[in-house]
Amino acid sequence: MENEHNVHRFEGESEADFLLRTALDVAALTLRSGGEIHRVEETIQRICAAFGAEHTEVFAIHSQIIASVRMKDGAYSSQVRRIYESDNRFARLDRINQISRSLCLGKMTLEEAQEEIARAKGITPYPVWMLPIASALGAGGLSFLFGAGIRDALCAGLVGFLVTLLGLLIPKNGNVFLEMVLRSFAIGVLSRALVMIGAGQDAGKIIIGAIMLLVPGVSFGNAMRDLLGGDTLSGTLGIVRSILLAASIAFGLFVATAVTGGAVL
Amino acid sequence: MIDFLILFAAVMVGTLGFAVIFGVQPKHLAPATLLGGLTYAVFYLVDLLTPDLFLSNLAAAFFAGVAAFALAVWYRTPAVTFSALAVIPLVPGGALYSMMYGLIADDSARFREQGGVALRVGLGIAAGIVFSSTVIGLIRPHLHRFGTPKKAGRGENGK
Repeated sequence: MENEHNVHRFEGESEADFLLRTALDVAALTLRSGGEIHRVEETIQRICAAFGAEHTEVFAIHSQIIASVRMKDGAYSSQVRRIYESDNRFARLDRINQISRSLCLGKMTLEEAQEEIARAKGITPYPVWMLPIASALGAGGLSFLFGAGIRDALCAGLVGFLVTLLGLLIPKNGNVFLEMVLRSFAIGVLSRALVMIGAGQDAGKIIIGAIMLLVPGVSFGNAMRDLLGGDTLSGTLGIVRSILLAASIAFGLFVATAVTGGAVL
Repeated sequence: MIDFLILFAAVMVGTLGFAVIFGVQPKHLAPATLLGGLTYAVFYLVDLLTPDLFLSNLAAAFFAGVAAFALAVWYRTPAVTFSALAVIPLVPGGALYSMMYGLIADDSARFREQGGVALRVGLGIAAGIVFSSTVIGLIRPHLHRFGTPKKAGRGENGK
């Protein structure tokens, strides 16, 4: 769920309001695209400063941005942006970073930035059909790190391919934890089935390779970095979320174990 | 040596897959993939010298952070594009999953053991990235003395 984005200036919208709305649009898209908390906060500070703000305050966590700006003429604006979902989408992050830079260097007006933000939202560098193939490469390649041989690596790649394909076909219901349970359940059952038919040798190694696609390793690492970097609240929330996601994955595999009637790991 | 080369190639393949999943720009695919492989190589080498998971992950993540910054300046893109992918071969995904599996399966020994591994590795990666950011912050003001790379930018690049 994304906040509604209006590229035009509202009638009667003050300069301070429009400036902060645009800065928050840039920052929110940065956060939704996998940008770091410090980048989000600095982006708002820099854009506001570039457009004549005298004082800017920002507080950001992964699910919310709160900012206020005071212009030199005393005009004041304070706005909140709720972030419902975020994902690593680095081509989009790259584009939004360019927009931010252009704004700060005075090469783009706020109105132009709004048009560019709307365009940046649609950036997808690869067609959807490439995702299952990429998942197969990711799962198969990394399974070697956990001791998989060539047969198990191929099986992990196949499971990664099928589970991602399944994820694309099933409509999202918005609950990421339920989605993780279902996907990890599918990984458990498929891995076990591949071993049962003789394609794979070790279901555990196939599973660990395939669940690398699901485990919140990157967000766990980012959360730890936020924590060590001084963003205590953001880091703590990130770690809690990572642990809950890992628990969802473990639960899905646990159910798969019960269904297939054997230890899957 | 053969084992290492197989793992190096496998990590490159895995990182390439994740690079596409993360929607990295096509022109960034090759450097991001190579950096993933090199980061794992650093981890592998340090792991040969010391069995301490924290130290080997710290060293690899530090390398990833510095190299990601250099690539970010060169390609004028946020450093996280490269650093997030570079540390993927290091992330304690298996340990994190295994820890929670131990909790759900009422296996407290497994929960404690794997939780400790996940924490040590996670802390190592985070410390390496934070340490690299600190070092970059210290040397960055002096970089202009050595000239500006062809595509280098200032401002928000390489943060």
